[in-house]
Amino acid sequence: MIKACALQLRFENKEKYIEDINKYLRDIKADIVVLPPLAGLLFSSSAEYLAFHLELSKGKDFVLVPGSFIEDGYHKAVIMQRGKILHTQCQTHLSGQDERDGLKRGDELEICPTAVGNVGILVGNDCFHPQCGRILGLQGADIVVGLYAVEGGYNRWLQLSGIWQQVQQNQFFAVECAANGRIRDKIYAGRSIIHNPIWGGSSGILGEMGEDEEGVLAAVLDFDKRNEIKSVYPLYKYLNRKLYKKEWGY
Amino acid sequence: MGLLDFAAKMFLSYKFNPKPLKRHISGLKVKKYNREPGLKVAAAQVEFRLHKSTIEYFEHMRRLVKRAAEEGARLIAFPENIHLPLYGLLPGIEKKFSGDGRKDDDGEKMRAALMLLGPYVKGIYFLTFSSLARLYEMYVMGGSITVPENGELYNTAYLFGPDGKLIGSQKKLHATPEEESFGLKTGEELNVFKLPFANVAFPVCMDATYFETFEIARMKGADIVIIPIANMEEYDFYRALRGIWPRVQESRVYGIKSALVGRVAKFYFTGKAGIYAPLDLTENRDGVVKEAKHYQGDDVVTASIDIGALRKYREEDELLKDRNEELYRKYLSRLY
Repeated sequence: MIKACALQLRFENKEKYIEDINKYLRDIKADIVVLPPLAGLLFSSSAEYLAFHLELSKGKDFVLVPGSFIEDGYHKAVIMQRGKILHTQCQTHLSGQDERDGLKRGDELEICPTAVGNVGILVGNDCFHPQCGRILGLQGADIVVGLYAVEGGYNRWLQLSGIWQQVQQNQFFAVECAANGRIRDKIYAGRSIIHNPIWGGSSGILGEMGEDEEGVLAAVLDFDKRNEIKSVYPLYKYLNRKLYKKEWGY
Repeated sequence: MGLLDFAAKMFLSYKFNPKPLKRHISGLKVKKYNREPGLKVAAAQVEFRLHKSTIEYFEHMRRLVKRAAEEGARLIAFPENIHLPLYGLLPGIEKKFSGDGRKDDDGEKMRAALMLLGPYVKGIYFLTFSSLARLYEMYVMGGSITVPENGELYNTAYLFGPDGKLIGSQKKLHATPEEESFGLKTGEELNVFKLPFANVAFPVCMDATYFETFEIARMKGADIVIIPIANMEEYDFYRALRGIWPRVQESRVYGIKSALVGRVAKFYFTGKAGIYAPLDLTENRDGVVKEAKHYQGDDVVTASIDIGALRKYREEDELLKDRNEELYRKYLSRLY
C-alpha cells in the first residue's frame, strides 16, 4: 500500500507558497507527494526553485514531485528524493498558448523507478494526449503524476477528459495536482484528484479536492487491487498491433 | 455430418425459416417521413428479451426504427450482439441461460454453439435490418452479431442503406477475455464509409476502450464513430463514462452509442444510448448531446448534429494540431 498526497494551493506569491509548504508538509506522512504545477514561476529562477525543493526533500523519505517550472524554453518537472533529482520530464505537447509563450516540445517520455514503483509524469497539456499515457503505461508505469495547468474557468468534464481516461485505458494510478490562482497574469483552475483504474466498488477516483479548496489530498494506492484488475482484464494483451502497424507504420 | 448434427440443423432451419418473416414484411409499405434539413441521428437502446418468433424480433426492432424515423432521424444505430434476443426461438433457452453457468462457460462449447447458430441468426438479422432500412428509408447500422465467417468467429456489425442494400461491415478489433475464451478472431481493418451527410465508422464495444481505434477512424476521415455496446455489468456512472465519451473528446468526432440492456437469467446488460460530441460543441460543455434517461428499457435517443461545425472546429482545434509524431514513432515502434 502506498500513501499518495497532492498539495493544492491557491497561488499568490512566493512568500505564501513557502509558508504553505512549511505548514502542510511539516508533519506529512506519505510515500509520494505532488506539489502544484507552475510553482517554479513563483521563484526568481529555476535554480532557486530547484534548490528550495531539494533542500525540502533532504530531510524527508517520500518521493517528491514539486510541481513544474520553465527552463531553457521547456516546461519541466522533476522527481526528487532525499535531496537528489531522480528524473526530469519535459512537456511533450504544446497548447496554442504554450506556443505563443515560446515553449519548446520535449521528445522523451520515460518512467523512473522509485521506492513507490515506476513513476512517470504528464506535464500540462500532455494529459489530453492519450499517446502519452500509452507510452508510459507500456513502459510499466505504476503511478503517473499529472500536473494539470489549465487557464480560465473550471470545467470538470475537461479535466476528466484528461488523465482520468488515461488511467482507465492503461491501468496505472495517477496523482493529479492542479494549478489554482494567479501566476504572471494568468488565472488557473483545476482540482487535485487521485485516480485508480476502476475496480469493483470504485469509481476510478480515490480522492478529489474542489478547485476552491486548499490543503492536502491523500489516498491509499492499493497495488494488489490494481494488479488483480490487470490480471483479470489485461487490456494491453488485446491491443491490435497489426492494425496500428498497418495504419501508422509502428 | 453425424445424425445429431443433421437433426440439429434441420431443427434450426425450421425455427429460423425466413419465409414467415418475409411474408410479414411483404405486407408492409415504405413509409415516407418529412425530414427537416440538417442531420438528425438516432441511438437505439434495446431491451434484451427472448423473442419466440422472428416476427416478434422484427417488430421489436421496427418499433425503435419507426420512432427514430418519426423524429426525423436519417441514421440509426443498434447495439452489439443484437442476435441474442433471437435465441428465444430455441426451446428451453431460459433454463440454459439460468443454469449454474459452469458448463456454458466452457469456451469450446460456446464456440461450437455460436458456429452452429451463426448462419441462421445471420439470415434473420440481414432480413430484419435491410428491410427496416428500406421500409423507413434510413441508414441502419444494425448492431453486431457474433457469427462465423470462413471458419472463424467474428463479432461483426453491418450498415444498410435506405435502399436496403448492405453498404459495408466492421469486425470487432479488440476482443474481451470472454471472447478470447471462445476463440473470437478480431478484424485487421478499420473501415470508414462515406455517406451523403458524413463519413461514418462503426467499431464495436471494446474497441472504444482503446484510443487507437478512434485516432485511426478520424485520420481516415470519420466524422461520426458509432459504438454498439452490450456491457454485462452493474450500471455505474463512471464505468459507463469509459469508452466512447473520452474517445470523442480525444479524437474530435461525433459519437453514437447504442446499448443492449436488460436482464435475462444470468445475463445483465446495462448502458445508456447516447449521442456525444467534443465539449466545445455541446450546450453544457459536458460532451453529451443527448443521452437516454435510464440505463434500462427500450429507448431511442435522437439529436441533430452539425457536421460542418465539427469540421470547422477541427480545422482550428489546438489539440489536433498538437501532435508529436517523432515521440510516438520513437516509443511506440518498440513498445507496441
